[in-house]
Amino acid sequence: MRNVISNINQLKPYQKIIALVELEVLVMLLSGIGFYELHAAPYFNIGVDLIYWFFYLLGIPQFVLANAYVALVFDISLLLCLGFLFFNIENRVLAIISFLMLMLFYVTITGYLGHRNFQSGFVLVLVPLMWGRAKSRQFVFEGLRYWLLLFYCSSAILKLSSSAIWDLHHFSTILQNQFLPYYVENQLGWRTHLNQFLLSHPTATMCLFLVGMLMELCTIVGFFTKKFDRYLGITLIVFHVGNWMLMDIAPIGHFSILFMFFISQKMIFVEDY
Amino acid sequence: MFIRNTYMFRLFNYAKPAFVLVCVFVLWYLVLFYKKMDMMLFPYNNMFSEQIQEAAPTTYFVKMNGQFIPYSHFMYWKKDFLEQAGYKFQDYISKGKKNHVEQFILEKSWSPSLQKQLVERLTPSKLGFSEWVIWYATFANKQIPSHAQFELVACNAIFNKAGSVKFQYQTIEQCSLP
Repeated sequence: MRNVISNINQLKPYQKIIALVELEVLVMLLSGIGFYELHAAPYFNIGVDLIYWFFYLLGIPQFVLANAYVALVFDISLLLCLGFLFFNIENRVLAIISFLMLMLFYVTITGYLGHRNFQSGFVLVLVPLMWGRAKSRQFVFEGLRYWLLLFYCSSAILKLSSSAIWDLHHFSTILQNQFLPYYVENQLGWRTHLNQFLLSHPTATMCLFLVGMLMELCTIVGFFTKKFDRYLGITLIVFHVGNWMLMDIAPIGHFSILFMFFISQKMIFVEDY
Repeated sequence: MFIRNTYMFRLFNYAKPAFVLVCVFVLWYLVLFYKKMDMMLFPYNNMFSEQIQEAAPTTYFVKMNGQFIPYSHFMYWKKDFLEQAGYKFQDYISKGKKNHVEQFILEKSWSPSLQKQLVERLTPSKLGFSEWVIWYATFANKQIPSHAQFELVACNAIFNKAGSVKFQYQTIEQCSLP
């Protein structure tokens, strides 16, 4: 165990992120979502988004999913690309290929899912590696950190500016929707029991909503200093675990990008400074 | 001193084209944010900030030979996929087999040939319930017997104050396989 920890400590900061990305992709594939699992899927529903349009106009997701073997090759290639990138973190070409593969994976599964769940962090976290010079990578990394801060901060501000915040039953109404399939199937696990408890205590439920909103709002501090980034990272992980417990939204796909907050205080790309 | 340490100031000194690019990105993001548009690089993360207007919470299930095809035991992404698939397909049926992108394209005053090409590429070919439901059941790891009967069912929930729930079921679409 000590050896494993010391080996992990010897990894470069971005190698740890790539390992997390690979783990997230693996979890998605094992859960039954991937090119191969989706092959021959007849229905997709993409949003009004030029990135999606680019891939679908070229017919790439449709081509990959049309044949089971092609889909399987793409699943394996994706894992291999990330594996090679883990060992060759400085290789820009490999980073670009991995990024495009992940982007294709994301637009395919969310396009066919027909639902955008904002969990694109595992794709975007590769963007800094696509630049050649260490200083450029550092700038892109910092820019991505601001983007991530805005992602959470804007969510809190939109909640604050909405009239829904004054409705005591707002969050309990949301919670009713989130666990409906479990009620229909009579799958009454501990989270469903917690859901039942919260539905009958709307004041406590709304307090939890406000706590969650404040956790998101904390990210505003990150715009002014990196001193508290580690705490922001921990806060957001707790926020996502809470989301999974209360709302059945697992952060698989957005976990690796949160790791940025644990390494952002150092200059992580300093070799050619 | 504070200004000199800011990200944009340092970026301006390091690479002016990158500075311009970031400015364009921020301006574009502001425009999209103002228009409440959500894109992958420009998320409009208003999840759960708006009040739910539905009269009763509703979810959609597929029944095969009178039995619900369960999905809540699957891990997150697959469970989400199967849950959303029913919801999105009933939406597609209710809008005369048009999805959101097709409606968006047809509302624009673009040339008819461009509209036709975009619709062909960006939307699935017109799909019947039987085609979709066979894929759905297979994806949910179900063996499909011959002559199977399928239904897409809306489950409207009625919660009481103690947190217990009753359901009203309504068949949206049905088919029998030959």
